[in-house]
Amino acid sequence: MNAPTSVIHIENLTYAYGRGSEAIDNFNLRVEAGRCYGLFGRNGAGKTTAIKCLLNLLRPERGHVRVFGIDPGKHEVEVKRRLTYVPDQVSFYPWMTIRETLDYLASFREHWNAATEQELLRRFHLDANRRAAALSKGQRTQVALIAAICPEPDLLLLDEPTSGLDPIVRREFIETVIGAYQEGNPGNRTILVSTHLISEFEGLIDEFTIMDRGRGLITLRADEARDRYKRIRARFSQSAPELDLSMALHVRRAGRELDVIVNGGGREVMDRLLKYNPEALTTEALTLEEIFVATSRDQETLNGPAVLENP
Amino acid sequence: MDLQFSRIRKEARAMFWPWCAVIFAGVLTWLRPYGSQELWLITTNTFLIAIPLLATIPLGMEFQHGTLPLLFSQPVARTRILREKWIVMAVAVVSAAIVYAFGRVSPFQDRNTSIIAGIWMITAICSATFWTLVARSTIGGLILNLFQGWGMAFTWQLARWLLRLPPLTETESMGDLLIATLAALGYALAMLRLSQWKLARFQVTGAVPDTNVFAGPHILGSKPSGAVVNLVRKELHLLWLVWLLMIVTILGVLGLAVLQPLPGIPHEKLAAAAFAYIVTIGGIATVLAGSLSMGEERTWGTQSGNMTLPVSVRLQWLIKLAVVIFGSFVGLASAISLAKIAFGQAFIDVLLPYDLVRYGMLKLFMASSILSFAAFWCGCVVKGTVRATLLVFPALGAVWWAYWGGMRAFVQIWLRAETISGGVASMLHPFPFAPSTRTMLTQIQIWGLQWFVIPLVAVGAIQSYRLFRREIQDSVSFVIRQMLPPVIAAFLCGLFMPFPRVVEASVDGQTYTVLLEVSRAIEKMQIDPAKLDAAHPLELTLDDLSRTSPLSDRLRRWVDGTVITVTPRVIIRPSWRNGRPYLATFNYFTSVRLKNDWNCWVVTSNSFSMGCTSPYGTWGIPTPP
Repeated sequence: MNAPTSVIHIENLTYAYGRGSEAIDNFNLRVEAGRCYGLFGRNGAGKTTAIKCLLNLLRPERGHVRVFGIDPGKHEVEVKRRLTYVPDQVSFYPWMTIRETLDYLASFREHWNAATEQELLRRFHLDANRRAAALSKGQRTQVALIAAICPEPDLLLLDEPTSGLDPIVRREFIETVIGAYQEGNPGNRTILVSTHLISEFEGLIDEFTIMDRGRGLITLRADEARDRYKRIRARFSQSAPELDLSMALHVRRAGRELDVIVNGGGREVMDRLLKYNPEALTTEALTLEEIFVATSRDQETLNGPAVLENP
Repeated sequence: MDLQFSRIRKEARAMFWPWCAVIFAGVLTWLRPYGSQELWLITTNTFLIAIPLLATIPLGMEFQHGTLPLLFSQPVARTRILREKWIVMAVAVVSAAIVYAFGRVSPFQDRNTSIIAGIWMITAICSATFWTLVARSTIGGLILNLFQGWGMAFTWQLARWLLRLPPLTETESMGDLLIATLAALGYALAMLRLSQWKLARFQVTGAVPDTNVFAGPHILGSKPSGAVVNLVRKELHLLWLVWLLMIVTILGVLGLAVLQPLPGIPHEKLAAAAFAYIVTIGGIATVLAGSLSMGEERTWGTQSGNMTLPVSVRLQWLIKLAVVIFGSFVGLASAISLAKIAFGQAFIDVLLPYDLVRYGMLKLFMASSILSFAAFWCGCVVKGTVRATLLVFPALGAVWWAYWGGMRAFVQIWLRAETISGGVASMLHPFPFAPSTRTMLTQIQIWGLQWFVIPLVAVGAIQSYRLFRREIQDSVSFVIRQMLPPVIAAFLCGLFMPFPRVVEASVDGQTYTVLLEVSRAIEKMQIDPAKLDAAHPLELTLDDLSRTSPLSDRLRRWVDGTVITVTPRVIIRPSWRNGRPYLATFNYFTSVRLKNDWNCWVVTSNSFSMGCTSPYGTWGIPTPP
């Protein structure tokens, strides 16, 4: 029996915008069907470049890209037929109304859920007769999201989809729209979302990759990440003791308190702390955003754990 | 002061390349050794467009880059911002005007036209800010500025008509011009005040240039089905400004045609003005068709969005290019056809010197296609309509110079290295060409421009398709890199295009040399013509000739085994001596049968004459006269 084909498979992808400035360097990614996959990274980490390579907007210099097992460089229409994309900067023809914009985009699709379109227009309080030129940045993003959802594609590529959206629409979109989209055909509809506003997608993300300077730092399932990345807090009766915590990602001392972030090995750290008879010792799973911050900071301080002292 | 200088430097930096393009066009007018009515009109129209363009750019660029909110949020008074822009604009406009003033065909050719050009400059400069703020774009501001100028000219003529004065500017007296100047200065000052007022109250409604004149009226809406039709509709809408310009061109031609019945206006001048008007405005519309189509998509950011649609990129590119090429041709052809109908023979007479009567529409199609395609290519290379439009002429100039350089290099390389061309000629064809081959070579020469255009268009098309689908870099070095393939292609076309001609000339030269060698060898034998008998011509072999002269390998190869005959006949042929014509007399001629069945004859003394016949055709003078 053949192994299931990944919806997205990127292998050793390298792309440079100019000589010697590689936006992506030997990047690997594998996204299985039905997952909501997060691509996290700081500004300029290479998230958008990677997505553009999936769409054949950029041609990889090295490595290979497959979407639904197909090379988008050779069969791009076939690939694009099965996916939709919401870019970080949404642009429409200024002379078109929202109605015409949606009609224009619908004309390229074999399937278009008109009922969903009406429902989303109502939810986002958008007047279909309004010209695109008169829309705010957030409203343009809303129209782009409607245009991405209505064809009910197998793959939804979202590049910073919530930038410019107000908090109410943002929550509505993430909790209701995205959820409804995936539930429409469970196990078959895949989402790849690139963002640095990780906390907003906390509950949706099944798996994620953190990118930094064009490389993938770590790839984890969300549950596995929460199991491994822990924050351990200890409070002592006197100043926090000096002890060897080289296995920790970050150690922060603030008077009597010690704040330690670990990537695995939480049990060992707690055992060591217990030897100093702390007044209180707690442990909690990190959120995805905290994991992202800890990992990115760790990458910056390549020489072991960063020890931050509070005066 | 330093901060102010840095701001002025930024304004100058934004103006630099457009200014270079305008100056380049102005310098071209220095090269023309003589002037003609049409050329003067085209140069003047270029000047009339270039000046408002330069005046519009300082503010237009802010709209194009979406930097106006940032600029207006700085703690600097808007009037000061405007003043700094004005300083740079004034320097650019005045320097450009000086360049045009020194052209061999200049808008400043006499007192009257100089005053009118000055009026145009002042009103264009003073009102540029206002129109740019109204249009919220460079090209939009330029077009409104042009409409203003034409409106002023129309008002002036209307006033003269109402006052029963002659309508043409060249008959205007100094008093009339003084009134016109004062009226224009008053208008310019009013526009300047209006500009300041408009700028002070201007509301920045959007950070992106999405509400400018290019958005156009709400027509040609999309339908939920028919992807290709929607793409065509979208392309047609993108070019709405081009359609508007084409309509203005047609209305302008009609306006000139209406003047025909008025007394004192020569039809030829009206027809020439109509031609210049069509060439200038229609030409701009043709260029805009190409640059707008890509430039606005890139400015709005919709181009990358279209690339994500599930429709072939090649199809999108083809639709865009087809709409650009056929759209611009239809517009120009309509204006030309209308002018032909309206002006009749007078307009056809104007077209004659430009060889636009025979196959006129085909040539017009070729010209408009090349121009719009060049603009489309520029739109693929740079971001924005203005940049693409300004790049068109330097790009075409670079390609033409490369082609010309290739031809020059050819002359240096091939003609000087005669052994190479001779060797190639011998390899390709060891004997004189048959007429069919010669006809083919001649046709290649006649249609040579196509051999230049076809490879160049092929290179440009491949390149534009590749650039169409990718994100481009916003740098001068990127543009120069992209320019290299077409420039190299043009150079190679120039280098190899005259090749058939040289091969032909080499073969002719070889035939000529062989026959001359035979004739000279016989001359050295000092044959007495009186002893020759026409009924029994003197027969010689190569061995006989070799006794008096050393023979070349080629002669031995071409003539070996055949008989050379010398026949007495008095032949008188016109010839040249010391740069003067005279009648040369020959007492006999020599016949040679070449190994490829060519029967040739030659006479020589101080002068020479020769020719050949064969079953396939003739060369030179077929038989001795």
